[in-house]
Amino acid sequence: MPNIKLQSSDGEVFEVDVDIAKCSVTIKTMLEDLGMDEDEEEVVPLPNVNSAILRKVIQWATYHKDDPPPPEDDENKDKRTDDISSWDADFLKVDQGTLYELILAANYLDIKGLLEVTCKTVANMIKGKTPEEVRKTFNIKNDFSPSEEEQVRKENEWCEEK
Amino acid sequence: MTEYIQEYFADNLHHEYFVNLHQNHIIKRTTDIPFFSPVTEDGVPIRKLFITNLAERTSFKDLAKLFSKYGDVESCYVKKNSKNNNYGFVTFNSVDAAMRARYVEIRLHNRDLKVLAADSWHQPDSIENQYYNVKDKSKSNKVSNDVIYNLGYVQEDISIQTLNDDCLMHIFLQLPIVDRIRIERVCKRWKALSQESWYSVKRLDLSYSTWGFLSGINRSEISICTIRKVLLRCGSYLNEINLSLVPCYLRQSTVTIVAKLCPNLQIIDITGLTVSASGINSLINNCHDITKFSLGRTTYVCDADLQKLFKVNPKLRYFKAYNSTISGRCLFYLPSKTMEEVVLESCTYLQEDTLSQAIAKLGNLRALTISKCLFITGNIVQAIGTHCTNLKILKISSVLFSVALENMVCIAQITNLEVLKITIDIKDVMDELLSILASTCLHLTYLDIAECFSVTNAGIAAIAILPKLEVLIMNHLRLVTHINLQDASNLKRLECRVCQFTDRMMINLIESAPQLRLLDLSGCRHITNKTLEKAATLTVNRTNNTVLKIFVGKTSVDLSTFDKVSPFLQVVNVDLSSCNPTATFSL
Repeated sequence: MPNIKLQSSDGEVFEVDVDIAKCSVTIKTMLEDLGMDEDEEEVVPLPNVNSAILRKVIQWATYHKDDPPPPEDDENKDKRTDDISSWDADFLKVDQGTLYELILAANYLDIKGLLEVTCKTVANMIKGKTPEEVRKTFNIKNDFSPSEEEQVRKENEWCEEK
Repeated sequence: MTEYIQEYFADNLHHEYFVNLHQNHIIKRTTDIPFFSPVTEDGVPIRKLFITNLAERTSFKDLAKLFSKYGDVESCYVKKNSKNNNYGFVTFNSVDAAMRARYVEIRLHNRDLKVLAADSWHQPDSIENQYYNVKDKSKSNKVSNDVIYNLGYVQEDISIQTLNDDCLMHIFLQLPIVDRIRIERVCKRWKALSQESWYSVKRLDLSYSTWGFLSGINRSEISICTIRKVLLRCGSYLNEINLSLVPCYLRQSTVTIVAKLCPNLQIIDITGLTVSASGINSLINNCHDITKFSLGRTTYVCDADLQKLFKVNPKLRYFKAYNSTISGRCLFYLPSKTMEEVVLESCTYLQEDTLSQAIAKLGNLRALTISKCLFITGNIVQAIGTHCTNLKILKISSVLFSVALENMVCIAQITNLEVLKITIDIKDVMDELLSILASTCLHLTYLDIAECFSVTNAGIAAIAILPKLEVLIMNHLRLVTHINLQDASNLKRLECRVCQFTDRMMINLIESAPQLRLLDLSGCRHITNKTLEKAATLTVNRTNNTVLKIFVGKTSVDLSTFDKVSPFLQVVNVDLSSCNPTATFSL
């Protein structure tokens, strides 16, 4: 099977099976638009992804290479966050920083499955928490003035912790 | 307007309202000065007041005159109620005037008036009414808010805040509704993004997976106020709303609010709600893109209003009335060119003659269901057979009918029919009917004749020649003792609960039906382990990867001695024979 070369932001070059690389819609379009399919010597630069993250992305894509393509319409799909496979859950046992970088990479490379599973992981960290707990978990500064916060709290009182 | 008020009153009969009313009243009587907010709980300025305990003779003029002491009265309305509990509305042109009126005790015609702020969505300045009146104005407000919120706030170290807006919204979209709203309090950026993320919400229902866990509040406490708050965020983006399963009491005004806040709905299912005139009128005024509409209980005979609704929704192709109070006149006005499916269930007010005339107009229908509605007559069946010749799916069931064979035979003219369910059991002629159907409706893949008690072996022999039959439902046919399908190669599902079949017949059938997936034998007392053992041997060699499921509750099967294993056989000890109450009754 033909391979292509992907270059991370810090210059490292990865050789990947074309079919695996094409799970990224961004790379797929790039190859199709530029006709880079033929030229094996060409290196695809990925200036937004560093080597540590690119390695993880390739690892994920290799494991999921035989997955059926994700359905096009999200509309009728159940919003479930508890359906993360055990392999994915293990794969995503990383520090918060790595998780965010994976999200950014999945978004930039347009890998729907990876974006979904990483976002679900973060969503699970948010679910059921009070705003104060969320701020603590993610180290977020509360930039509301007390009166502004009171206003928001009052509007949404029904979904607050009782 | 009148209906609107009636609905308002009906809503407010809800007990929690009376608790509030009572409390307010007590506060007024104490010497403490109560605090009244100039705005409703979600920030709508209060200009409209709801006045109760009016004397019978009090007219709107009296009320307007009395309240003009506190400021300019914009409008005033009094509803005279038969029960002598008249009530009214007074709308001032300023919040201050309304405030003044709320702080004093007002007596009129020997009654202490109870003065309350009208609910948010009734206020003249509510978002519904604003949106309705000046669409552009509310839009421009929204944009300026976004600009303020998007001033962005990013922390230095690697934090969730380093994610761009796109990614953060992706995360928020994975959250159930309750969490997505709760996080608005985290910080300004999250509030703005969480609110923006609603644009990709296209469908809303009241399920747990959509709403998530309300700590302290359980789902049965979702009220119209909460639904409204969610709709204020996503209403204009929604294409579909499903309020068929409603876990709680929802006021009649729910539909009114839904229609006002969700003008782009295409698929509406409100079978779980009770709908008043105001609700349907609100749909007429706001929703013009409906393609699928499912209506539930209504408080009045709503044909005239449905007629208007159908008129403004020319793209309608599906209409369902479940438990609705309709005479059937509205069906005349369904857009006959686009209509594909009509479902009428438990609509006991349907008029026989109206229905048969309406059916004659719906020539393009692909599917029609009339179930538990009315006395089915020959006219109705004849109208279906003569005019709806494009039908692929037809389901008619009713305990009450008076149909002759020559009427029923009309159905045989619908030669495209693929799915047919009839539970109209015409004594002595069912076998003849089935043989006529079997000779013309050659495309039938699904036939349900459950509880047509007078069907005998001759009838079953007649339908055995149908070439494409995939599903045959013949539960409770007590006169049938024999089944021998000539060609069972397409058969996927056979239900014959409480039938007289023997092991040998079933074995023959399983042998000749390689596609069979479901065999429901509940209550068939002659069936023993022999059938299962043979089924195991036969399915072991299946090459089509299809698993055969057999229901064996209340049969003579003894599962403790059944030990044959086949990867393509699943025996389920479930008894569905008494699922249908009418069936158990008649046995």
